[in-house]
Amino acid sequence: MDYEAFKAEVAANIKDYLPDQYADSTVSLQVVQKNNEALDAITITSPDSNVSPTIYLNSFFSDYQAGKSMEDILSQIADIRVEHEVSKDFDVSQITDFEQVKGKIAARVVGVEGNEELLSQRPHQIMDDLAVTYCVMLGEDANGSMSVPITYQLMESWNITQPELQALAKENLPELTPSTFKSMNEVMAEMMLPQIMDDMGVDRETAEQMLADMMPPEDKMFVLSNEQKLNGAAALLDDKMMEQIAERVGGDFYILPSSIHETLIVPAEAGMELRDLEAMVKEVNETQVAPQDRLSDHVYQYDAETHEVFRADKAEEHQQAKEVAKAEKEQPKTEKAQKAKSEKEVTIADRMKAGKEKMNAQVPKPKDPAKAKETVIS
Amino acid sequence: MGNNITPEIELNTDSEDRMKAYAERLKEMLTQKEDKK
Repeated sequence: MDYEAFKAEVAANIKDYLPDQYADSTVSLQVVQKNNEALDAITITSPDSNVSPTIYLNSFFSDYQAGKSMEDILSQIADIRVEHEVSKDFDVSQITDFEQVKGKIAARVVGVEGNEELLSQRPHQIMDDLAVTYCVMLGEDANGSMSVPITYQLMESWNITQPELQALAKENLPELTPSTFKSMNEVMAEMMLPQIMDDMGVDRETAEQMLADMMPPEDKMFVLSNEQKLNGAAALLDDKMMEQIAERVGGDFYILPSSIHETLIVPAEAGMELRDLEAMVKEVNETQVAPQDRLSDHVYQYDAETHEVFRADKAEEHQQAKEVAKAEKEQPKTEKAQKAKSEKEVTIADRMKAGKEKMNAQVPKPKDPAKAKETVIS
Repeated sequence: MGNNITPEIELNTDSEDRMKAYAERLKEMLTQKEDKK
């Protein structure tokens, strides 16, 4: 069965696997623009409901090709639909009333390239070849999460702006999607230890040793994500976490965009060549990362001094901008000092010439202090 | 805007393959770097 036939089969038979309450539901297939690609989705909508979850079919076809039976796939899709049933009295105002949703707005980070169409529909903030988009989080369970992407239409209905969305998403981040920062060894142990123990028939200690032999040193690679392990690249917006990472790894660090769900941190002091890191990201993206999870082929860097994230291959431009910003910050101080000096000279001359009262009338207001530093993401 | 809201369900993804690939490659790169010294 090819993919087209598979989709038709699912649409035609899914109701047989659903409880009776779905007998009058409408089943429809549609194409939804997702990260880097358009995915095929199925919606099963009850006649008296205005909300229906979207379930993507592409990965189920991969399961089918890998040998999973149609019966099992249909049962799984039906289970997901039932588990994510939105109450029939779901209040649509929960989405359209800004006051009710503002605490549920979360950020997502995707690559710009390949997402031009998606970004044309959604408010976003560009971070070089990455873009921050936003969604309303509706809930989550052990299998995944349910959310509504924020489109220009939705944002405009709330009468707010993209910078406001960005600020809210950052404010909500620690509560909605708490960031996690673990060594690669710890993450791999969570994923692989039980499997190694089973497959090799060894005890935990031996399995840990086997895993340690496969891993780089504990302090050379870390994983930055969130507790949900979904859309965890948005943890890059967690300013506090980024500062804590810099403290932990001893300063600047590289950010490898391993997927939209997590990024990898390599301390700059590890002394890796940027071109080697870039080649590694490109190769792993091509061979190990599904298009819908792919983030970018470019390595980023965090400047622990300025707290800025920038593309590592643009380090020279970043350094120049940093020097200009530093000079601008210093300049007003110098001007102020010169002004104060000349005022003092004028003051003495005036005092000698016209007396104290006249001098006081001539003292100008001090210059404004240097402008507050803007956050720059280049 | 209309009243048709379509929430997306995103299922957890398996990151093991890419994590393993990165860990192995970084280890290899560090070993090569050590050997050059």
